[in-house]
Amino acid sequence: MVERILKTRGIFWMWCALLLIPIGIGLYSALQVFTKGLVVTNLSDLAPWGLWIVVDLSCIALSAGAFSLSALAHLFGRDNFKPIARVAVFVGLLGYTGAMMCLLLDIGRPERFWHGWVFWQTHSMLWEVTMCITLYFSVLLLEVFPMIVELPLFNRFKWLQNLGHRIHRFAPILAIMGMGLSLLHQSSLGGTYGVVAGRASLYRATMPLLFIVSAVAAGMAFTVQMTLIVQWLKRRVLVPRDVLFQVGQVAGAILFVYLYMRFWDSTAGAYGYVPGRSESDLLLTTGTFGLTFWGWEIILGGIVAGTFLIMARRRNSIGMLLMGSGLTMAGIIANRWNTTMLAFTQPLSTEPVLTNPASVRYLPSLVEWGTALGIVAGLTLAFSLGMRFLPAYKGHTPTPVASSGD
Amino acid sequence: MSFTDMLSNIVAVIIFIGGPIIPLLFIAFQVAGWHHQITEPVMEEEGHGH
Repeated sequence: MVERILKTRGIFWMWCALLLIPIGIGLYSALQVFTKGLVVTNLSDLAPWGLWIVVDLSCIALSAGAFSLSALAHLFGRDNFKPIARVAVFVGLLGYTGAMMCLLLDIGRPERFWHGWVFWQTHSMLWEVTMCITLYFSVLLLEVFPMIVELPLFNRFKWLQNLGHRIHRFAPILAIMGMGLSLLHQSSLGGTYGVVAGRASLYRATMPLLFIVSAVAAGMAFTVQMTLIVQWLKRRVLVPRDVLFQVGQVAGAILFVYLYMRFWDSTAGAYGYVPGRSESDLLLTTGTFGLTFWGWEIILGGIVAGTFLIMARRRNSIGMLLMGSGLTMAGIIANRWNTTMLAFTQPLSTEPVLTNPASVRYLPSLVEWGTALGIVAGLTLAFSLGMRFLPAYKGHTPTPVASSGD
Repeated sequence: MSFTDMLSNIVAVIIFIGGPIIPLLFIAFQVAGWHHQITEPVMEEEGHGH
């Protein structure tokens, strides 16, 4: 039945039209935020970061394949990784676009988005993140530019295509810049949490390391997942199977390194009773958080995902590879959700009580859900169009197994 | 924990864990099925092979 649906005439345009519905909801919701302010959200002084920050952090983590795979392909001599690095760069560009859209909504004064570049706050982690994210976005644009000007639409503008060729020659330099900027901001996003002395669940020196390692694993796995799905939908091969298996194995190994770090961070970091930290660990591992933590973050999105990613190559199982990469994606989203929400759910102090109420219950408002849905749908639409029309993702026609022996 | 609490927790686990896994499993089977039907072409470096 799926085969028949995929072969339906105009199915691609129907898909695009379907995506316009959530995009419309997102635009309407964003208009509410821009005209009425953050009052239409459920964010408050007690829970200043919510769904948008979770989407922002997830988008950035899932984009980490761009810098890590580009570095492997261009700097570490893995030439066979170039086709998947090409997909990763496009995924990265869209991921960072989504992250910046979330931040534009979240800052409350969107017309002042440029202040970070002009009024330098060099002691602020968020300033460093702002500079790195915007600079890295420019690097990603330069990396994608040569692929965009390859479109037949630009055949009339030879100078643009020549410029694209010239920029492409600098791919290794762009890879170095991308790696530097990403290593800085992927970890300093964790650092932004790690320096919050008032929130016991966040305040630890290991946060930057946990963020960068988990992002690299998730970014690589997400690129594998997207490539597999696009190949299936297009009925064309973009990246050789063996490369996908190899990247999966690397992602799985890094995921286990992350789990190892996380284990010691949790056990040695809170050995005995550590005020605030012990309570936050209890809150994370039981009740509502316990389900997302044990279910998604550790078991399915960690141990099972890592095992699938590593075993897929040995078992020559594409299904296992896709399951592993999909579970890794779910695990990283659960991790960013838990990290953000736990900090504001846990009371600052109960003796004496520092806030009224002591702890806050946060559930995103409809407007927040609407904008998040719109952003994800917008990114999906852009990804679909890119994979369909950009010549770099044209792919190769495979041979049916039955005729391969001829 | 009352029976209702236990039941609601079980339902929550099934929905929360099973909800995303079922479509993922479905896609994984479809993609794996397609890969079984094809032989990959020999791929050469093209255009802007980043």
